[in-house]
Amino acid sequence: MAYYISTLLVLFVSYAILGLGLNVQYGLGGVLNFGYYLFFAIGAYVGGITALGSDKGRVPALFQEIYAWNLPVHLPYPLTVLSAVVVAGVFSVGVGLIVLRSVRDDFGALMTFVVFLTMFTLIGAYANLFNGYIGISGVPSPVSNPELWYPILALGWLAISWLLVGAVTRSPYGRVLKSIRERPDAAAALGKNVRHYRLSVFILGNCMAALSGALLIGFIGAWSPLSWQEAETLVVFSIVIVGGRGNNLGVVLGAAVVGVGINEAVVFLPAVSSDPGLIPSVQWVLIGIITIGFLWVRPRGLLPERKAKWPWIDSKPGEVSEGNLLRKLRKGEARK
Amino acid sequence: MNLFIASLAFSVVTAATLSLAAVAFSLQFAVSNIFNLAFGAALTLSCYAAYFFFSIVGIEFWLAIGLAVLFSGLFAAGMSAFLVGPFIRRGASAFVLMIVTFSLGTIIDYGLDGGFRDNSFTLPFGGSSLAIHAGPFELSGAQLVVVALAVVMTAGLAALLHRTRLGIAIRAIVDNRMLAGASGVPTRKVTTVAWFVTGLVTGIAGLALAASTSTVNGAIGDNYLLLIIPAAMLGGLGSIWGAIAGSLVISLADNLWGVFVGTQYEVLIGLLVLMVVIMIRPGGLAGVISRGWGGT
Amino acid sequence: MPTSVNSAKPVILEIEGLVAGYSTVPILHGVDLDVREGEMVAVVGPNGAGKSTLLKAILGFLPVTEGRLSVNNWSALHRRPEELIAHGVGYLPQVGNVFPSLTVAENLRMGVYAAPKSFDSRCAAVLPLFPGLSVMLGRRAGVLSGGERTMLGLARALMSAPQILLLDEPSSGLAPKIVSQVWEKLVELRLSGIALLVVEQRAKDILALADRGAVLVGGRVVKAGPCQEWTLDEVGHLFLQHAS
Ligand SMILES: Nc1ncnc2c1ncn2[C@@H]1O[C@H](COP(=O)(O)OP(=O)(O)OP(=O)(O)O)[C@@H](O)[C@H]1O
Ligand SMILES: [Mg+2]
Repeated sequence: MAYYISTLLVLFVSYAILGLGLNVQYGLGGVLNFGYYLFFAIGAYVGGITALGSDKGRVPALFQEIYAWNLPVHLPYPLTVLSAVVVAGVFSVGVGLIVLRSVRDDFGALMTFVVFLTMFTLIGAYANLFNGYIGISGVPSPVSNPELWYPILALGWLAISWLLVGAVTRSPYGRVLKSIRERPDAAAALGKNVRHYRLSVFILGNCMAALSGALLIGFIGAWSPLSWQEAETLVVFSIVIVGGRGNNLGVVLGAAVVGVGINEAVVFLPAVSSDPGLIPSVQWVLIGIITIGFLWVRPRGLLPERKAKWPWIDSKPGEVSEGNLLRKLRKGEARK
Repeated sequence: MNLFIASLAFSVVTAATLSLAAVAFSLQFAVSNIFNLAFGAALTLSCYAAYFFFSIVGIEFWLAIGLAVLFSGLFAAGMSAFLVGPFIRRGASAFVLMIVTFSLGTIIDYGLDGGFRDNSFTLPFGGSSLAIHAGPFELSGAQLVVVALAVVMTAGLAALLHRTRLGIAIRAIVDNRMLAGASGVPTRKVTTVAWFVTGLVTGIAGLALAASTSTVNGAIGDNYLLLIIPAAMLGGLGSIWGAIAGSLVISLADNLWGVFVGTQYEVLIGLLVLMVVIMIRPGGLAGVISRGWGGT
Repeated sequence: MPTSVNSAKPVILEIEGLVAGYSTVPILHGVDLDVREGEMVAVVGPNGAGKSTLLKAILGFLPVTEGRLSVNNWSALHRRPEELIAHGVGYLPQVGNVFPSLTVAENLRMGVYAAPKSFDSRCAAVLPLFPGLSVMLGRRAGVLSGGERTMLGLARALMSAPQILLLDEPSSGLAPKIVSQVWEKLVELRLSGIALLVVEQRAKDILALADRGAVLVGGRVVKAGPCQEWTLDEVGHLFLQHAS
């Protein structure tokens, strides 16, 4: 039972950090990334491999021979997480520079989807990278008695992420991001380099995904392509949408409701012994329905983002007539 | 050189299926201005539908295939009328629609996964008797049928879009949906019919895909997206001929890579092509965007 | 509302207290307007006054939250655009007034979508008004000049045999010489018995042509009535007065 609760806590933290990172991208910066889970996976792989080092003793004997990587040293704990974040960050720069060039935002989003599918196939097919479809296993926990200490460690990381994201959201930089999300054209007209800002949230969000991945593997100890199929990204989107796009607290709530809640709720469905795959399938279908349902019924989520306070980003994008702007400008003068 | 010619010929075969899928994907984008991320799942769905009608219901094979294609068309029409259309009319952004179709794709994928006991199956298209051998390539009768089918479908589609009132209305909606409505075109109805047509094409593409691979599994459609998306983007979204040209290029690149580089990293081709498209000519070779009036 | 010269003629388009806008933001705050058979009514107003919004709301492109709207005594509220077209309304938008990738003939065909059989007879009636178009039927509309596009847009709108045409700034972006051709065309259409509701920036020109005018400022009609006598000064004054 204690182990079960620890697992839920770690799962929750992992989803919460994932959600916060995606919220930085989609909620704050208006960048849509269907490859988000790839960076989580990279974080898990790198975090796992750096923790394992050459320590093959923990690897099941069957797989020892085919493990391709062989790091001479294994890194001490926070460095494993850090290296995961750095690797994901560097990779993000490369992906972001290309993806964010697109003429239309949705092309970029489509491309992130293709990046994901490609990397998924690549990592699965080529054992030289991350052991292909077998993946890695036997990753040691950084703490003794992980059942007790790992959830606490994880909550510590969540606190750090929470503070970081909160600071970013409230900073002048965060305000510029919101204005770019609402009105990229207007922000560009005011001299903001939209692409740089978007690249920065793309990187920041992906780094958080990697952090979450590195955190999770420290607890579950194994990672393979089976753990990060394309639909996993949907869970994170669901967390952000159900919780409330743009609202960090909402996202954490979403992580509890969707990430942990639905995962656990389906456990109580009666098992069908002849078809063990049925329950996970039900779970995915459910998450898909919930996501679409929320987008239709309550698109701003359980805890909606507070309305922006800047009148010039209040209006909806669309036709702007010059006279309108002039009128608004004049209005401002009259008040002075 | 012989090998080069052989791969050229073989590329035409693989491009036939690919172009059907790319044309459907591209037309859906053009008509509704959305990327249908459930497209891969829709391909898979058509295979499962055929399997359902044939193996489970026990209908005669070719009739089952026909029903599956029809089902695929109805599914796309329903998706447009009851999911995509309502969201668009609410003013949902392109991003939201991508998330919606992505969710739908997941629902379909896992619905099929849970709904069918078998993880993989074979559709007995047969026709292997008519096989042609050339170097490392083999063409089965079924594949040759697919090429013929693709030609007929494309010609039919082009005739529909340029010769019939309905087709012209579809192009009018692609151009300017609001003006089409203001001219008296019943835009919702025409959009639904357009999706129905793309659904039929999707169904045929999915079944052609099943005919060219020995076994069908739940990932068949989504894996194919890695070629479909670059082919449609390269050709230029909204253009039939562009999608066909894009498919030819992608298929050729794929086969040449296979011959001269090896199957290692072959999966990267789609992404590489897409990168080149985005860097050099974001509108693709032809189509809605490069003509400058796609808009969001 | 002041009685107009045509008050004996039946009302074709009647708008009362129309409130409409984009999603939740109302742009029109209760607009009253009517157009009678064979009459030309001009709507003028500063940029952003809601003139285009008014026409889009009439056609059913925008949600109307309050008010009444009828065409020939048929309630036209909450209808699809194609239903309005079927009830005798024609529309020429301010931007994007043709289908660029369709040929001229295909553009015209879209105007008569609901009655494909009458395409030939309608062409025979409409094309003589636009001699320029008849020689370029096979050309893609995307390559036409601005003036030609406006004419094609008008022709396309006429193909549905409307009783009333809603025109959104038919003169915008055209050279002065072409503009006067457009004016001539409007007069011709009016003489042929088609009612016109014309939104225009060129207040002076259109107020001289129209039977009645309405000044729309900030989503409200601030002046309406027979407009031949209106001076530009007083209209311009209204624009500024209500603008703040
Ligand atoms: N899609 C839209 N979403 C939100 N607001 C809009 C949209 N289109 C227009 N508006 C706003 O509605 C108001 C009225 O616009 P409208 O286009 O009706 O003005 P107009 O009188 O036609 O001006 P113009 O003479 O410049 O054409 C403007 O303030 C404009 O900014
Ligand atoms: Mg206007």
